[in-house]
Amino acid sequence: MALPQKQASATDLSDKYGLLIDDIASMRTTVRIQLASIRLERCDQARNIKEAIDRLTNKHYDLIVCDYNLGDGADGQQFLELVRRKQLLPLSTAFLMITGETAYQQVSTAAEYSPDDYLLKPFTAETLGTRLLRIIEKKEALKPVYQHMGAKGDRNKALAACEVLLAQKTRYTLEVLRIKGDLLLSSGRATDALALYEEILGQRSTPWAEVGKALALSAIGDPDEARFLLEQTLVAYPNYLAAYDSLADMLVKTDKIAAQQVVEQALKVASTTQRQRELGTLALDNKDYSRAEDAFRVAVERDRSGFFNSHDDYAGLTKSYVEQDKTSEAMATVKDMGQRFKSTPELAGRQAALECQVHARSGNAAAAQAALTRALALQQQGVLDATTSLEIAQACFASGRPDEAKKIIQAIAEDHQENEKILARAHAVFEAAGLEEEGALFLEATRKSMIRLNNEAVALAKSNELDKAILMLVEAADRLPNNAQVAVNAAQAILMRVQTKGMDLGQIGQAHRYITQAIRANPQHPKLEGAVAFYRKLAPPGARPLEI
Amino acid sequence: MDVLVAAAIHDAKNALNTLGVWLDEAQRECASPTPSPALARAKAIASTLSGQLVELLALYRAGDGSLRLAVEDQHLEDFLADLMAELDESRAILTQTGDTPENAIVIDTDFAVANEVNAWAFDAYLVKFVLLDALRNALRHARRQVRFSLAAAPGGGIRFSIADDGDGYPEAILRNENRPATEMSAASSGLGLSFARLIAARHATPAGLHGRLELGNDGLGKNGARFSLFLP
Repeated sequence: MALPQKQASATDLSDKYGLLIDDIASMRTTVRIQLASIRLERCDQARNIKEAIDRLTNKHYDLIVCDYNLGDGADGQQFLELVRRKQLLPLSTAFLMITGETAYQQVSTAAEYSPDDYLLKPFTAETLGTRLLRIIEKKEALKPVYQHMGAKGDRNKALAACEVLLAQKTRYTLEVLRIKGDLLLSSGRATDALALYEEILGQRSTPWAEVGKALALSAIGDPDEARFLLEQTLVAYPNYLAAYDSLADMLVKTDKIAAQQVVEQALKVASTTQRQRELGTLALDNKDYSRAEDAFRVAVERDRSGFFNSHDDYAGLTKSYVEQDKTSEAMATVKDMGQRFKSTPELAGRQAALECQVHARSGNAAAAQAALTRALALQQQGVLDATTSLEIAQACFASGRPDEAKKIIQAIAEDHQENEKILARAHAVFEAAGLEEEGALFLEATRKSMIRLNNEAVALAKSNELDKAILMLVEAADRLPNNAQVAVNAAQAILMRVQTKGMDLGQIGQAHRYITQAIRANPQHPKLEGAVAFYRKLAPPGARPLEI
Repeated sequence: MDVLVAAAIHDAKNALNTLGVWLDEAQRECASPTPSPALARAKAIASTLSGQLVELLALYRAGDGSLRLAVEDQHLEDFLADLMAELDESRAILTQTGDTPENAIVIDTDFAVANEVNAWAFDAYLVKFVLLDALRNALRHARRQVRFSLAAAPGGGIRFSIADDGDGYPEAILRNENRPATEMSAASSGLGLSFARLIAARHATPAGLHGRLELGNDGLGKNGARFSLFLP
């Protein structure tokens, strides 16, 4: 009988490019010498997150060796999550985290944000080499899947690549199953995902499959069972951060007090700026203002690298102070915010809106109106993002101008029709103004009017009134750059006209523009694939190509 | 106070690791063709102490509720290869000290199941300590042979077994075996076994299965010791 072929092994690191990230010079020197002794000669170094990001922006690396402690309140895990989110680090790059034995207990998290391996200090060059080669072998084997993942990926192709690898029965079968489960979940195939996870769990218990099963159950519409399973998972695997994060995400919709408790527990396992912000946001919603103040203060003070803080941290801290009538602290925070971030319209708008809220609360109506005027002037330029606009809406409520608040919120809700997070934030603005029920009704009415718009356009198109349909959709698509649904429908209608009335290069170009707008708004939109296929079918040779 | 104790153990452990690095450096500075037995012995002691502090710290943390395992899939073949490499390294140090009869002992391994099971979820760092400790213990007590094997447990789970052909465990330890693993208590059976029991028991599944330690005198030879770690 032939033995299963061992994977072709990468024997050597001499043809690889490496990046070594550590804030301590002597550690860099030691590891650099160790890397050279295992033939990784081509290795750049970074002393901090800024340098590392610069390097990653300008060059492709095969492997990254990163120390967990990076100084300035930054750590390797937060760095990894940051560069994955910014799409600076492809899944095909090997990432090895060097840790002490306390830090390694904090790093188990979702697959996408997990290092490929951890190496505990102290280690020998030989061990370092063995681990790196092992990771590189794995990355090589999984390449057919990775190349279809990421922002410009194609989930169906990635799933097909998974099937090929599973049929080959490589040693990476479990890794492939894990990726396959994630892909099924993100393509909305929750029933298939559930079957996959149940089959795996029939053989073994492993944290990612338990969490995957819970996510599938939740997507299928069984939140109670999902919550129960996640709670059981956390009893068995109290360090598995992905379980806390999933449970908190689920609870946010139904029980914010419980969600806050889960985030508190996760913070005991791993304190990150993002989790502090989540805790602060929940505590604010739960009117637990002193807890919110503590959480946001940690978020603001700890990150001295400046890469993990957002305007939200300062806004949250300001509001925590406002609610406790700590006016001078609140104003000082708004001022600090200006020192901390790059000067942008968003920053100016956020600061003005917060200032307005502080003054309104302390009874200084004139100052509140003055700040609000500045904020609204920026809002009218139409360049602010949703979060900043919602802050301005909150300021409008605070200074007794509810109609302007609602106008802003309506525009946001129409533009971000399918973005649950932004809609939840919009509702929270109503809630903060004491208008919880009115807000729910208002947002529901907005949602329905958007559905009506799309339905009417589709009905017009079907009854041969294509031009009217196009007019409606194009008007909406131009007004709502973040609404993928409207843009896709506009493109579809234009393409239908080309199909029935004949080729028109101007209209093909217009369709291209709306599909591109939809991709930018939401690359995962379910109707995109069909629209792109339609475009490719009609576009004449020489027309601009489309890539999802 | 609690924080101080944990921090002190932690610092001492790191200091011992640094000591190990300096002992290596001293060895290099000697530049003698044969390694210095005295330095090798010093290094072995530093390494043993550091290992004991890791175990002590885990027991301490279990006591104050802050011990949390990091359970993740481990490729069993890789895990076992790393484990054996580390064991070889410490045996090589023992060889340099020149007075180690246990180095004549042969370790038979049977890891055939590793390929089939592929990967299993456990805390690799802590389980590695448990197994290295058990292997070193078996080497100390064996006459000629130690057998280290991995099996798939019927009904789910994996079992690491370490058997030797020595005189077996004393009665007192075996009587202790079924006692629940209360943290910091089982001083009678030594730090290593208390640690092993704790780490075994802390491995659990959401369905409620727990890991366990199984000790017996049905190892090799007439009544050699057998140490089994079952992980659910």
